[in-house]
Amino acid sequence: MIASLGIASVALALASAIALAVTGFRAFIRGGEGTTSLRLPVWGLLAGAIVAMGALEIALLTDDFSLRYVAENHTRDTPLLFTIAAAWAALEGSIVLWGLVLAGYAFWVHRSVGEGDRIGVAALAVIGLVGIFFFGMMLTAANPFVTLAVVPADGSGANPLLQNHILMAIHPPMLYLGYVGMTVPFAFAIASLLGGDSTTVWLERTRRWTLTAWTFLTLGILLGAWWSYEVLGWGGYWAWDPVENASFLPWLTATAFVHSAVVQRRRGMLQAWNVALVIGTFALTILGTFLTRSGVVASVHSFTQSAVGPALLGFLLLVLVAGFGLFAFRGHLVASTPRLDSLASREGVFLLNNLLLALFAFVVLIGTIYPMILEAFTGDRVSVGAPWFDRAAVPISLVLLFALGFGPITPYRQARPGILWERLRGPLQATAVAAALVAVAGVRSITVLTTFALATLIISAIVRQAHFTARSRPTSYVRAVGGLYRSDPGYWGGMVAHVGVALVAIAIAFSGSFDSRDTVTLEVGESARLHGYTLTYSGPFFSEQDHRTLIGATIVLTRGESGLGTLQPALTQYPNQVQAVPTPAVHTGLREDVYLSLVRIEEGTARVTIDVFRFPLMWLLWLGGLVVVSGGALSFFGRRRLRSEATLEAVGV
Amino acid sequence: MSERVRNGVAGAVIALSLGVVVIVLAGSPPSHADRVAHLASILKCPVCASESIASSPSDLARQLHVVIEERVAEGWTDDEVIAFFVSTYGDDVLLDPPGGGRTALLWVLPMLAAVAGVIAVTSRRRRSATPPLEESDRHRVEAALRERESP
Repeated sequence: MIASLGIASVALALASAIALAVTGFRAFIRGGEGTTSLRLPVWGLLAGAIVAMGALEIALLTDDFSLRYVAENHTRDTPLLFTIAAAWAALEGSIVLWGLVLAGYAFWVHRSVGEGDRIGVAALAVIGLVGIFFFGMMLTAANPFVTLAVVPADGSGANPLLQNHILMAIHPPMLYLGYVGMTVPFAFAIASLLGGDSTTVWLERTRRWTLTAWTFLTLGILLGAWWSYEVLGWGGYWAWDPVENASFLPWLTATAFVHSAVVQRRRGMLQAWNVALVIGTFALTILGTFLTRSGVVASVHSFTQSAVGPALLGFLLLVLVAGFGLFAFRGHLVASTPRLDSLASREGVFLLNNLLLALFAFVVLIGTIYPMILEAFTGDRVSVGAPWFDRAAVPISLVLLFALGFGPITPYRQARPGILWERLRGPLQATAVAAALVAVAGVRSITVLTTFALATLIISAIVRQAHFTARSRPTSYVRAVGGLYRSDPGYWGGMVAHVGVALVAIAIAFSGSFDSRDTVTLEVGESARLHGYTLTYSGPFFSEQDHRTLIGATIVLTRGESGLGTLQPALTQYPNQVQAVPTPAVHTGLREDVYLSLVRIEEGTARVTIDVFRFPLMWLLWLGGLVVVSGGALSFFGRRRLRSEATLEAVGV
Repeated sequence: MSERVRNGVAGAVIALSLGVVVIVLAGSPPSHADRVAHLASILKCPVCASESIASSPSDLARQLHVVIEERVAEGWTDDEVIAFFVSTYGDDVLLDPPGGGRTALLWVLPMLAAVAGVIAVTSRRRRSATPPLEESDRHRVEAALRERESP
């Protein structure tokens, strides 16, 4: 019953997507007339996607094990939150979520399309084409509504790692809101290629969707890093794992696009480059889905086991060939004519930023797919791991940070050295003093020193700019500072994000360079002293919860005379899963985190072995990440109010 | 304060601070990088997807960490330890692939991309540079902007 409802709703969404593509392109050919014919397909797409997601949730919530997806990803004991989240814990369900988000964006785009809007209807048609692929997958290779002939009494449950933390319920939807959101600028870019529209209309119109997608993608990556740190127990937040890289790649190119879009809006440059960036970003989201969902990462031989891998790979090739083919034939129609006056200008720094971000993305892409391609063609297995990525990422990031420091205060068109010096004089002093202070404080790593100095440059240059801009206003200084954001939300939202990036950079440099790992074995009542901390094993604990069993150690942590509290690292055992999952315990301090991960707890529990990690300044990483996200949100919500608009409103037009 | 004094102070502060950094860094004893930690971070734990021996919590990784400690204590060079692991577990034990042979492209392609990018940016055809604004014009523009941005 639920299965039939699910399949019927997916079929409705698929039919609507086909109708949307057909009516959209027909309206495009007629010069954007007949947009009312698009309303029904858009509503059908949204309704089908919502009912499909709803049917899957109902099946999970009612323990309907006649569905294979439910039987494989759910048990009767699974708590409510993880039951709901099970809808995107595995491949088929995550494609349903993908479709729902896509339908939501299609609906949002449709609201902005009026009669005679050629570019808008073509964009909706492109979204329809993307929808055909994903809803088509749901009916074929990745069907979540397949029923079982023999209905089991209980399911086997999702991967325990996915049931361990509340973040599992939040992280994937955030990531998908980001991933799928990139479809909208892609659709508008293709539409402007089809229409040969060389104006910046598509950029103006997609600004909000691009910022929405970018902000959610950033948040999704941040939550993923946090989940990895809080749940996985290996003591890190980033491992250059192919699955992580899959989310980082479109983030890099989307970040490049957010910046180069500014150049195009302000100076009319880089039109063709922007189109290429957007097509590339969308292709990278499909590549990411392919990497994470086809099994190709575990082994190139596993991906042909289901039709999902080949289907996604085929779609990726189609996007690349069609997107860049269209770009090759029609790119000259959208290419812009204004040329760079001088490399020493805001545009020049934007170019540097784009060059570095594109290079960064290229390096990560090569490192991620090289082992798979090599193995697929020669059968040879090689690894590309953190040391290789770090070697490329560190210098590129440092130059990026440097550009971040002086870019936002560099004038457009041509920057005279005198103006740059005047604006950087104060910040450069702060930078040099900061470097001297951390050197005296004992930091000897040149990378950490440089990172800290550049972060100081970024923040102090922004503060100086805010100060002088506010001071030049005729209103009182306090009011002027408050009004800065409203005067140019895009710019100041971006500056908030830059401050966040600077904080994240400091945290990454410090936590990566001054971390430590020790392994201690303790009897009950015994203490160990490490790096000024005292860990006392006061005894084991057991906890029977309805869907899992915890066995762990209660550790009392003190530093000097002050007690820092009790930590309970544990091993979590799920029914039907052989391997126990480590659940770390973290004490967050201003100076550093103390991170305990249980390695072994012996029979009789008299003795435990624990990994003790120290990670400096981790709170700054999470705080900085949230600042970046809020910078994106601030850019989104504010709209630059031009005096003419305000005047028009004032006179009541 | 006049501009000249400000510039002088700024130059002095920057020069002095950088001097402090150089003296501190030069005066600190050369760091003896922990060879065991370095080796453990560039060798993959053979049973893991992409984690190093240093970062993996698996039992095998712990045992191999001990193996590295023993070999280093016995006086093996880094290259000897690495060669031992490659011969035992295969080439994919190297998380930092070598710059030659089958993984040469991993090193060549990024460099080519960087060079191509720099050439693409610097060779963009440029219009003859417009002359910078006269000082008086700049003041007029700024005054106009101020006037526009005031509520």
